[in-house]
Amino acid sequence: MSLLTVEDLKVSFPGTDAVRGLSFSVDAGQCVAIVGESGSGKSVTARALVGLAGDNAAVTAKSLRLGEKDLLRLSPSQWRSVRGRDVGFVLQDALVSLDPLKTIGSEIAEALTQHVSLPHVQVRQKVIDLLSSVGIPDPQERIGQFAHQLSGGLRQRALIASAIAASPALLIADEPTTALDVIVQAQVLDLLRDMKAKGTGLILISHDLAVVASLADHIIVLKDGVVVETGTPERIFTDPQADYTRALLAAIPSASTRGKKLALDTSSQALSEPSPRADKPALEATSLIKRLGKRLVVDRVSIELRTGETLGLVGASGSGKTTLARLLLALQSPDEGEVLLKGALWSRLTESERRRLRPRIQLVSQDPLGSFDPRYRVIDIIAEALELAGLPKNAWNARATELMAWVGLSDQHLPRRPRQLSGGQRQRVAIARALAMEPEILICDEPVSALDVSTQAQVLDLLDDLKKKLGLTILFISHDLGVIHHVSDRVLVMHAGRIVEEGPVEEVFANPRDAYTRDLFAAIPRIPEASAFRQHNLSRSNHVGSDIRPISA
Amino acid sequence: MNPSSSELIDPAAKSPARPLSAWRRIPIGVVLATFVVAFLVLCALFPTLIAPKDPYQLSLLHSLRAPSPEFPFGTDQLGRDIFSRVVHGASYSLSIGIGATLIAVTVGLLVGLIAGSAGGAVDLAFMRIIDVLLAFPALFMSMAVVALIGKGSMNVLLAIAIAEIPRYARIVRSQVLVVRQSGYVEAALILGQRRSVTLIKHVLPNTIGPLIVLSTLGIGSAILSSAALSYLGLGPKPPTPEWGLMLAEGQGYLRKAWWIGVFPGIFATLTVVSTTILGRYLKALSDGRA
Amino acid sequence: MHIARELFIRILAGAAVLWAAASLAFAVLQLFPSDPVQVIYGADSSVTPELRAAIRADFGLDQPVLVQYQRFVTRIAQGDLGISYQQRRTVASIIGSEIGSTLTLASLAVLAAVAMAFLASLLTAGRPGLLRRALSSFELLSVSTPVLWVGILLLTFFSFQWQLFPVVADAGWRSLVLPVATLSIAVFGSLSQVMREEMDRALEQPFILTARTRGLSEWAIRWKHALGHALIPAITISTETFGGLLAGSIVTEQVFGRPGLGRITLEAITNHDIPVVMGIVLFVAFVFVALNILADLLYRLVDPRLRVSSR
Repeated sequence: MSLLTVEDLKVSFPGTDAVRGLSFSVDAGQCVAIVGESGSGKSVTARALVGLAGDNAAVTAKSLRLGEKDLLRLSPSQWRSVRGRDVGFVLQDALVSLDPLKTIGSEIAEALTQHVSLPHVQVRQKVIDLLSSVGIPDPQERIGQFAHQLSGGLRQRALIASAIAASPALLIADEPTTALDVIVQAQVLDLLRDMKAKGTGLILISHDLAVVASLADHIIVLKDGVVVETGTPERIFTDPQADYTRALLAAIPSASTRGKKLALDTSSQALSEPSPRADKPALEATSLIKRLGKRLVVDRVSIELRTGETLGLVGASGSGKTTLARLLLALQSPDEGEVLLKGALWSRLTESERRRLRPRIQLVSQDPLGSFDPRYRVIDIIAEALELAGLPKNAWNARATELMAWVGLSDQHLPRRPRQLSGGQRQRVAIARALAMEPEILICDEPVSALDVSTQAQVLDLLDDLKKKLGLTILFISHDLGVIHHVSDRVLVMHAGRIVEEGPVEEVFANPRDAYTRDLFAAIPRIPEASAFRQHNLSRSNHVGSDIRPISA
Repeated sequence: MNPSSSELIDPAAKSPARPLSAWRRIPIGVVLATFVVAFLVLCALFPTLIAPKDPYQLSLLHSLRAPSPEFPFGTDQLGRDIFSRVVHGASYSLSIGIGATLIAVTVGLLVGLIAGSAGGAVDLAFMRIIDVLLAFPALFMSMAVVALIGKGSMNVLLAIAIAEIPRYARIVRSQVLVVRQSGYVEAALILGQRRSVTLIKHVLPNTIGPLIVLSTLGIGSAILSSAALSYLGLGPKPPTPEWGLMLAEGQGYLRKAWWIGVFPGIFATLTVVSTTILGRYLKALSDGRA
Repeated sequence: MHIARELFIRILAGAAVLWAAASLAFAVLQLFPSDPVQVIYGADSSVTPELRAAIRADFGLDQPVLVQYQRFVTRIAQGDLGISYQQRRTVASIIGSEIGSTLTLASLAVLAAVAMAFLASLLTAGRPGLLRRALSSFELLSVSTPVLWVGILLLTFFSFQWQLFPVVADAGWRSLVLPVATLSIAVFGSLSQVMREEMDRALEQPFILTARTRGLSEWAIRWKHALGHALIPAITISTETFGGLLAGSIVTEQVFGRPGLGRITLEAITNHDIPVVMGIVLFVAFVFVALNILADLLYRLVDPRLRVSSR
């Protein structure tokens, strides 16, 4: 018998239908993944399953059963006895999902004592046991620490420990690895896999098909509250039926998408190879050093950005990527070393000397909205750039129209406020502003990391088109290895302020020399090839652990 | 899939201009507050239009009369018409409230701009002085200033302004710092804009906007201070029809005539409540919440 | 050890602020000189030049400015606030004899306001409804109504009309009720607004959702998780207002005819008794600095993120 049976679940808020008919079931030791982009209704579904969709939500279903319990008929106090005890819930980013004013020990103890009455001494021991069971070292010491004192991976484990404290049979994880670096993400996924192996039923919510690929027994693809496709990973990855699933799969940038369009409508024809390069580097940095207190944020970094290429710079958060970008843009000056633009002085110039060169090197940042004056409309944003580009005022309109067309927007967007635009449209405006300066070099600092997969695909395609059309040289900074693999000609791997790996993208990805790079690449969640599924099925374990309490009526 | 189809689903982007429905959405409290403020401005500019009786006219015959059609708010211990005095008092409170706030905001803006954009030692020196000044409660500061420069309406106005300057200066300075480090100032610098130009094009307008909103709220607290100072005998001299002073003068007669204490207070409270409601609404508008 | 060092630094910084405040006050007094003879004898012109000189020498006003400043700072550093022109008593003893009454009034008012604000936030944060709207309106009124008028209204109705509380100031605890109510109503408004806003924000945080998914009741969530986050602004505002009330309860003291710091301040200002004004200025600055340090310590107690990292 299934742990959880959901039949025709509908959730609506005043004015919108968030989920429009969703059915599935979860067995012990099985993982169901619900995948979709923002606004698909996946998080609303997760909350509805624990009765927390909100006061203004209307939740209906033909049937919603957890073991013997009919979830549709629970009183508020019965719901409370289900939450935490029968169903555990893990949210994204433990830094904000654990109370910052409480120790992780007391957070876990709270989850425990809410449902199990234990003497004080035993509570402490049980919490320590839980901490070590999720792989937190030195649990005796960690028990008294606060979320902000732990690393991202450890606090996510602590959050999971609090969710499983009362040994629930079902665990719902809503984007449990989204805030984490790739290597830590792989470890947390391993932990979830262990729990599944011990017999916990798992509902995994994610925006990322690749993340769920290795864990899910069953995948549901949601879009705008409607199930567009459902099936085993094998079927969905090898033989997707719905157009949307196909588009979603194609939109995931990776090794196999190199040189192809990501957004499906423009077909997936191979595009011409990157243009040949001139010899003189567009931008050159020699042993840059930047200190923050005693710490070396950028540690003897030398970079050569060749004219016409796309250089990928990849690294985890805190690796010094953004500081490096700021040094290259001469927004900060290095403590040692220097940056040359086309072989000429750049970082050593005074700001007034540099100002006339500034148009040649432009930035596309992660947060376009923050880079627009909040009082400005799109037209004002573009106009500021056109004025600085020295264009006569009577030519502004025509040029603005042209720029809008280049980035796939139209005149109608000019009088809009950036707040009224979608994330993808805002990034297009930011790109248009950069292009208004007729730059040679574009520094893209995490330009797509705040975007949904399909929007990301469109923006990446756009950047690729513009690069070919305008002969741009691009430094592309990202934490996402798939994106880097897709866009780059050559790639740099940055770790703890240093460049640990450098070379042509295929070479580096095929044969990484540095130990950190190898770990990093090994941790990339991948969508398995068709042949991998036979083995995957064999290794799938289904035994039920004894420490899982059956759901009582 | 259309390339921008998923991006175009944005309800806010599609909404056309609609002045009429926008009017309808203004909360009733804000509408009422606007009327009250308009009425008070009318009282301040043309008091005789609303209260034709002389606010200074003594009449011992009519002293301590309860409210009646002839004396809507009653009369005080000297037989003066309270309604007339309250209406005439609007000009004192409003001019002190607005005047003191204007001075405080202007000086605060200057100090904050200098400290925030100069940075370094200048900033440090200014901020330390402001820290010291903020160590004193505003009312206490105003009283200390009055002790130095003497009593009277004009001096009360100055005293209130001086006490408020450090608060505005601190707000301006921190806003200047936020804007200076914002993504859009950085974006302008990358485009090749001069730092001095970004100060005028971006920093100044994005600092003044919130400041205007805050100063609307400041008018209310300036009026409260002026009423308190007058009540303590540090403001205008009797028989000026100032609300705080009227309360002080009438306090000895409260046992016999409750109306002496009630009506000036109602006017003062209405004034502050209304400017506060308007100020909060402006703030909500500028934060994009309304 | 970290805390002790931090505390030491904070105390040093506080002393610097006090020194700056004293110097500033001294400088301002040089710009607006006052004459003790005028204060003591009024406009009486019969004072002989010799007597005048003697009195000025008595207060050290015959010395060069730098010497005066030096003496002034040394004096202050030893806790000597000088001697009143008018009462011929030390300023410290004047403040000492009046501070008790003001302290009682201010602490009771702040305590009452904090208690009411806690209750109001616990009941209404994150919950739209009639109670919340009523409380918001009350808060708006409370921050917009002149304190003196609240006092006068309470006096008019509770003392004169209904005679529930005494009019005089020296009738034991019963004469404290109305002044405390007056002040706490004013403090409650600003405190409650900020605390509820903070609690509203806390209730929207993911960690509250996490707590709900553990099966905690609504009350437990407010009590155990949301309330702690409203403590920070509560500390800020209540220490700030407490400092403010020491000198700021002057209006209330005047309305109810109570003795206290406010009364002597007003007297000193009206009589141009500059040493007393200065003494009170410095005393208020001292209290402010001390309360600031206390608030910092309390923040650390409440919010572990503000403690020195001990990872």
